Amino acid sequence: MGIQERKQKVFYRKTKKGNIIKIVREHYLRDDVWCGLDGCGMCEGELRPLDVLTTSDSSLVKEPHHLIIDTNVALHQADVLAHDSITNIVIPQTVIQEVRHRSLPIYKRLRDLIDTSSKKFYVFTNEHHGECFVEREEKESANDRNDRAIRLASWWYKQHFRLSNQNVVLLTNDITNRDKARELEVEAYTMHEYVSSLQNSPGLLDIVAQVEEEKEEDVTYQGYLFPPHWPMDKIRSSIKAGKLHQGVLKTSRNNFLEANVLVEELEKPVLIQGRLNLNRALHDDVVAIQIFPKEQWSAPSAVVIDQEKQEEETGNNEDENADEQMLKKEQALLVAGKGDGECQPTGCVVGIVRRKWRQYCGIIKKNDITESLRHLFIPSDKKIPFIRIETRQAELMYNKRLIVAIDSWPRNSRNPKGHFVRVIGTIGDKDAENEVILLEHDCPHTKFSEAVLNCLPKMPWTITEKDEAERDDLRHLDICSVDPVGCTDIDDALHCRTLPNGNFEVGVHIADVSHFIRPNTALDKEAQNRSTTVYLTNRRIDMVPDLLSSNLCSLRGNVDRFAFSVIWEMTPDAKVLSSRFCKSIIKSRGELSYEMAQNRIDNPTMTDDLTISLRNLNMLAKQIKAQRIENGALVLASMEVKFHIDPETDSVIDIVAKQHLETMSMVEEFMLLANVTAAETTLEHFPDCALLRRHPAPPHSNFDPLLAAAKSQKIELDVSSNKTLANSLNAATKDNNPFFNSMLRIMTTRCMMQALYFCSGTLEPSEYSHYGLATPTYTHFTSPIRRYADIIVHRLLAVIIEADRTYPELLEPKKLADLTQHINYRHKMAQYAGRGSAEVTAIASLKGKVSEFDSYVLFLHKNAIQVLVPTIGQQLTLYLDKRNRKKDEIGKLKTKQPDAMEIDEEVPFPEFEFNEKELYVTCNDLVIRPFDELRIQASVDATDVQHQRVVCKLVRPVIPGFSVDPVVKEVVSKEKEKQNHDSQKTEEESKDTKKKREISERGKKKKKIKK
Amino acid sequence: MDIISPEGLRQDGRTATCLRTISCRLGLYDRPNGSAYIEMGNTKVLAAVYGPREVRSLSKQQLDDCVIQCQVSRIAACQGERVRRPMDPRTRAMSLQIAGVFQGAIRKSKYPGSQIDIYVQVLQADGGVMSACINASTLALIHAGVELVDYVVSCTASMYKQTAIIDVTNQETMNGCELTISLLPNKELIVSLDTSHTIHQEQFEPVMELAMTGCQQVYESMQSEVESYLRDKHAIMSHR
Repeated sequence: MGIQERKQKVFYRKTKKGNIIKIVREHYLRDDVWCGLDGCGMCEGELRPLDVLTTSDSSLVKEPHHLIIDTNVALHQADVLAHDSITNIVIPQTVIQEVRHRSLPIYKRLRDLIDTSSKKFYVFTNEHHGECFVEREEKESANDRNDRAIRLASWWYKQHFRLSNQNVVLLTNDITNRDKARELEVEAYTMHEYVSSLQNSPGLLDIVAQVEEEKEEDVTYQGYLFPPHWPMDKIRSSIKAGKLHQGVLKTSRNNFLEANVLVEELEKPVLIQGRLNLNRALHDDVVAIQIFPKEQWSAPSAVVIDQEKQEEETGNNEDENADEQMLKKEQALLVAGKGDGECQPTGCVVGIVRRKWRQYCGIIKKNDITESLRHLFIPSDKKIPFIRIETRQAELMYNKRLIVAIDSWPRNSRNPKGHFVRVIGTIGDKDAENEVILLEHDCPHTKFSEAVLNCLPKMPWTITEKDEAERDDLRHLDICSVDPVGCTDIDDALHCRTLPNGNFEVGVHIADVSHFIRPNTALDKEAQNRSTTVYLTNRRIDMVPDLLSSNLCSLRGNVDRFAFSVIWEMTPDAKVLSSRFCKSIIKSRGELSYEMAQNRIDNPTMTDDLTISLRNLNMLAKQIKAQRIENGALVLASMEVKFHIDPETDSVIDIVAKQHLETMSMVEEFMLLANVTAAETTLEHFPDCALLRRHPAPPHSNFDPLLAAAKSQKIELDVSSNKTLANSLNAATKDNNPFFNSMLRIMTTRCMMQALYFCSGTLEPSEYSHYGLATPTYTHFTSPIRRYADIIVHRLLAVIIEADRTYPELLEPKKLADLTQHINYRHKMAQYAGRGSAEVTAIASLKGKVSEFDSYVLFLHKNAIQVLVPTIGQQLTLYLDKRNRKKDEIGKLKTKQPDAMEIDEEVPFPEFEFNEKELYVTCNDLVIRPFDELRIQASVDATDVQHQRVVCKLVRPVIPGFSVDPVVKEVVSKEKEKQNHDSQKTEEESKDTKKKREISERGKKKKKIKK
Repeated sequence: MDIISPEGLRQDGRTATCLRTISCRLGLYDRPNGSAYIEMGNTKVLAAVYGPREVRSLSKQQLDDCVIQCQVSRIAACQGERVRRPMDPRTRAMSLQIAGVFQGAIRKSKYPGSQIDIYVQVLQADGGVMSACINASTLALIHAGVELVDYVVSCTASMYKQTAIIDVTNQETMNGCELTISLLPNKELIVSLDTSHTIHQEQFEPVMELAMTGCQQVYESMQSEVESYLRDKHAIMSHR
């Protein structure tokens, strides 16, 4: 048993230099590759997932059978394979290797399916099977050989299964392959044929991807909309010759017809404008582009173009002319919106090097023709074009959030073609909306698996004598935690005591998560994959199971907990004299909230030890902060708000701006100090494999929009270093606009680069620094419950203090670098998910009423103003053009609503003029500049249940024919405004429904939120 | 790339603990005193032994000791792209190492004042070159009739994720540490140990253990070849 025969695989490869080398690899054939059938008399093998079948669901194949798939089926029909009704599949190794080679995401998905025991998938290692090995013949293409290998494997299975009265069916999308298989007397069908013959799963046919075989180019056919993509070899050679460039396509947020391609060898991104020039490339695809001659270069357009709006205006025409008209119209729109900014290299896409298609969440557009099979799918990601799908169960899909996958984008179709995958849930349902956000941002959110839960310590958990011997006992110290109200994953606690010499001993105690999460366990791998806890407004997706995050690791009050402590000796003027790390046992004296801690500090009658230590901490923190700011640390602002949600109805009760208390910055300062100390210590001991966090200084051009905006308000900012920027931000205030400084800081935040984790061995020490915090080294150490990076830092520190041992992956810079990239990605996505969730909640809070807000101008466009609404922490778009208005009115007239006639049509629509150079919009004699205060009205247009959107209207300054009357009387609102000015909270309830309807009749402005 | 597939087979169809096919031959040439050829999978090495003979350069001569010299060279097409120089610092280091290994394995006291030269040529390199060179040299020395303490057999092993893998190919050493061990199989003594990269302490033990079991298997194949060679030789001699 074992190796049976030795073969040589010979192939040729071209090196980078262009030399051709011959590669010879051994290939052993075995006699111990099993069939995987549970109950096969001849095969042994430990892994035998395949069942002995007794029934058949298919009308085509009457006897019970297993399925064998070929590469095309595996690549394109993964959604069908994932369906619950499809089980017992044999995947030849040839197929899985080819899938791996062609598409890693699908390979991973397939592997996940194979690992799911209920799916009963079996990988048959046919390439190493003595009887199934196929040698490539002369003049045979690799593909043909693989097809032959798959057919031979099917044939072998057929012969082999005969003895156990089983049968196999080969599924292939290739007709010639199918017919050749039939010649071998193997039953073979295409996916479509097979699935349509299944009697018990009628819905499955929708999921079958519509893959059209690439047809020969038909020169005479005139119906093509798009120019063809160049063949791959031509693209490669042209890129090499410098005629083409390769880069990642990034669709603009404001304009779906415009994209930038980041090309490595060019300084500036290349602009791609228009659907034809984009030539079927999607956001994130790796594309090959051709740059136009300089005279055709253009500037990014200054208008906001929304796909839905365009689609609505053209209506849902099915004929081919509509497509062309649409293209022309879009082109005209782009030309009209041409910006007067600086010209940028411009080009067009000639080919797609790598597709980044994924599954998209969204909704289905209601089709007027009810019996039609073709429907348009609207992805929730605005950068993705609408997708055409075919379905027989459209009725079930209205009002639902769906997942759709793209199959192809033929040249004659305006939109890509796809297929339905599954329904997530009803629109507006809390769980469905959350799942959309999580799926769109690729956040793993399934329940923890059995294997992961098995890694958890057994309850009741106790501290053993061994633990006590290994750890410093700090239970006698007055340690407490200070966190937001309702926080259950407490990962930090503090203490401070006076030493006999007048100095202070300050300790930060962090939950010792690395004690519970051991390297390379299932728990560790899961935490690593998740990398971070995701916070949505009404749900938390934990990185580690609840038992750890809210119990054993959480530093709760009055219970013994393991901690990783860092203890400093500090002088009264907050100079750090010494620091040490230790693993400890602590007993927190209380879980304080920020408010409680603040009250203790402020209340002079309280003189207990805990309060005194809090006061000392606060005193030290202020000095540390002053030192930090002296070094050039930036104080930036975000517009985060907190939602109070009624847990029963899931409706928003209240939105408050996040308050700032002294105790918050107290905790923050010590966390920063702990992080910096951890970074310095790990870097000193592990110069090559310390996990650090850097924040690169933004290139000067990043500040351009900020500087331009500031200039329009006659403010000069010095951005030459973080210190000068911090100083000029402090100096920039406006008496008539108290929010001005915060606005400026919010805009500055947007100019910043992303902070990133990295492995110290992979970069030069000069690149380690953190721009925002103005420290030479920084890392994350203080939140191991919710960030995986901290766990790695803990492990490194544990090795340094000789409390733990290293393991191989920890010391390999390359592996660590890969890990940091993964963590960076997950972090970014988790952040976006959090913001997306806040956006959904904010919109939900606007529903069913008209609200008025104070807002501030953020960006100006030719046809729109983007404003920031601090009250709800969102950015809204106020459209300035007439087009919508007209269209809406016509729409209303059609529906013959009685109120439609009441519209005041006498005032002509005002003309807005946009000056891009000096950045202002004028209307008659009114000038709107960035940072200006506008009062706006926002409501949710719920006429289409399918698709609700926020509509913005201007209230003040009054522009006749454009602005609307305030909902509430001016006097009242002003008074109210005064009352609420501090918390910046103004929200008016709508008065009566009649009035509301009237308002929504007037110039309707749509809203768009920038992510 | 998965070095071991989830199904448990390596790229070439072996299991983690399975050696590549070994084949060897003794006595290829007449001119050298001993010669041997070994194939460990696609690593193919030729070795020739001259001596014991007079010491060529008098300055090296020691009356009570035997000089052992080794020279490893590679043919230009032994692996991937053409090798420009047949002798580079690495092959030179290998030469010294092999000479060192046999300092301990040859009964030098039997050959005082003489010299033994080992010439090794790598015809094809696909992982475990050092091992193959040592094994070929042992066979060539045996063929030359040089008295040895024991066979010197060598084998490599490496680690992929949590699994130790034996007799690694070039492809498999790409991102891992190749550990080469050579030992005296009957005496169970380690003669040399060498790693191409750093290897974590925790992984070292299992990798070394595996390489040592590999050595025993290599020994069996080499011994059976020597025996069959001697049987043939004996048959020819008695026939005469």
